[in-house]
Amino acid sequence: MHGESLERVHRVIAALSHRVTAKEVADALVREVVDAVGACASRVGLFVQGGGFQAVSSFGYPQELVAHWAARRVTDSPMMREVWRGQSVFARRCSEDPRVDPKLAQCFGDGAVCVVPIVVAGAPIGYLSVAFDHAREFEPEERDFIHLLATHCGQSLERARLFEAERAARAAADSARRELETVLNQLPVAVVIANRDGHVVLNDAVRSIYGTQMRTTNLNNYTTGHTRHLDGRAFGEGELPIPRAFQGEQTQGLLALITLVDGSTRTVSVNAGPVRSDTGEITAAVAAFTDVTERQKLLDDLRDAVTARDDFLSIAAHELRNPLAALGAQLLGLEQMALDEGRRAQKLSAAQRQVRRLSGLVEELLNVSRIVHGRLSLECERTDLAQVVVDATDRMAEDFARGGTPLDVEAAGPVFGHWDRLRLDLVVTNLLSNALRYGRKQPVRVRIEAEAEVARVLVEDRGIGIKAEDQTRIFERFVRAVPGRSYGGLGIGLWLSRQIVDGHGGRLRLESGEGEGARFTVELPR
Amino acid sequence: MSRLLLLVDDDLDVRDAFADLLELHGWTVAQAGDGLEALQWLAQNPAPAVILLDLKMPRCDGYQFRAAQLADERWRDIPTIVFSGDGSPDRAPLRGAHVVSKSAGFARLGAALEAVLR
Repeated sequence: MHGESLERVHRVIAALSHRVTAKEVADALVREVVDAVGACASRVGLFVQGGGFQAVSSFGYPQELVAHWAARRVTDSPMMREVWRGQSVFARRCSEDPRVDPKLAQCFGDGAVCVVPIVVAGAPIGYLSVAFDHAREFEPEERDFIHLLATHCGQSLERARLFEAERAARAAADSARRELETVLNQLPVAVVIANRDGHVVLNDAVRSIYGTQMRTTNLNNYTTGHTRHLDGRAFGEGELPIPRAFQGEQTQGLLALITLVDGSTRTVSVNAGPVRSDTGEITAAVAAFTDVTERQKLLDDLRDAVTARDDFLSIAAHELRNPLAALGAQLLGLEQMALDEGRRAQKLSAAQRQVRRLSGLVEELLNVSRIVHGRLSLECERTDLAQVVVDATDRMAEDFARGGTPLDVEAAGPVFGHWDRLRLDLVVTNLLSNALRYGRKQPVRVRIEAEAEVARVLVEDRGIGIKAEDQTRIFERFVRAVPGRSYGGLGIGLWLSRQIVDGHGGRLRLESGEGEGARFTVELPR
Repeated sequence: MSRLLLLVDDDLDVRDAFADLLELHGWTVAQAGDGLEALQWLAQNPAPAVILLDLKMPRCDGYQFRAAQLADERWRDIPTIVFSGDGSPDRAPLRGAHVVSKSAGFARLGAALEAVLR
């Protein structure tokens, strides 16, 4: 190929080199070819599935011919059949060559035409046609030139195809990633996807659990330190769900404590596992975290409530047994012993006291049931609080005397109000029982204070007292600040008393310290 | 001859009622209101033939008393009957003590007393 031809080739290749899409390549080629060889028309087409061929770019062909070709198939034309097989066709004059499509011959009767295959990887994928308005011979050098252009066209088309395929794949990947992100962010579960290189993808729920701590996208920044077992032990590196997933291990429903940057602790349930490629290689790890703090707390509370109820039932049974056993023994004594009148009366009185204890316990149990079921209705009437206190202290005077605890009552005169007399009696009795039980035999003082709007009963002992941290807890049901096996009582007295005082619109207050005794104040609106 | 029994219970009513019955059946009854009083009594008196022990008591409960009793060679062999409202106590720390529920009645207690002394 001499210099002028080479120059033409370079010009066409340069024109093709920066074209990106198949259409751009074909558009550039048909124009360059027409210029380079002095033709009047050129076309680049591709063979399509099913035996058709489709123009990518046409230049200079009449519209009627372009429309005609659109409906043709390779098999309709001897010329196209040859090209489809990989052969080039050079026709000196259209009207003289039987291989030429009659419609083409009709338009370019005296003109020459050539069609050469565009070959990629050994297979014809399309064709390049060039038409002239005059008859002419195609010299070998001319033929080589056109073949060379077809070859470059094939390479450019292939490059464009690969480029487009890559672009489509990237667009599909982008779309899939956006879909995944949208789906992940809709999930109530926190999801972490970690790649081998430490890069992580997080969803919004992760940030709602971990807060800003999880803004990082590098795995190494958050796996250390802040994850602990439920018993408080730190997780070892090999125990963490994501590193385990990279070892091929699954994690199911693992409960862990995590500490947030604000210092608060959450309980999470973790599922994790490896992501594998087609070949089974682990490429990433996925972990899903659910914040189960509230659920766990509910479960713990429920478990505590069941334990408290069981303990209460056991304590109630125990508390009923003491007076029952004493009553049984007193009755047996009355039956078996020869007693004088004085001793007999004493034993009967002791038996009656046991019956009263039993009635009191049963009443207390019934009140618990009534309050729990919301059926405690106060029966308020004009009541003298001083009389309630005097009655209760009189009734318990013997217990105090037997327990060796001095009892001092100050009640100056009647204090009237609209209250439930029996229930207030229960409150005062409960407070007196506690003072006796926990009072270390030190004097117990009961006072009544009256103002225009409010009346108060103060029960004060100098006993073991109540630690600050227990002072709220002891008003809960089934709770006491001391071990249940050491002190008697149902463990519901203060809870019951507070319910009753609250029901009156009043307040039950406590002032105490460990070892400093306790002062309970019942405050009632008048 | 009268046999000496130490009755340890914080419930004065229980102590009174059972002391009367036990005395009727030939026992001499000493009383203690909790484990601490019982240990003090033991330290100052001749060993009783048997100890009747409640579990739930303030200051020093039945378990703590039993542990102290077993730790002292003067008292560890005194037959002991746990006499408690708790019908099924934790027996391991009570080591070898007989257990009679308070709700079982006096006849059962009497039988247990006979059994430990036999």
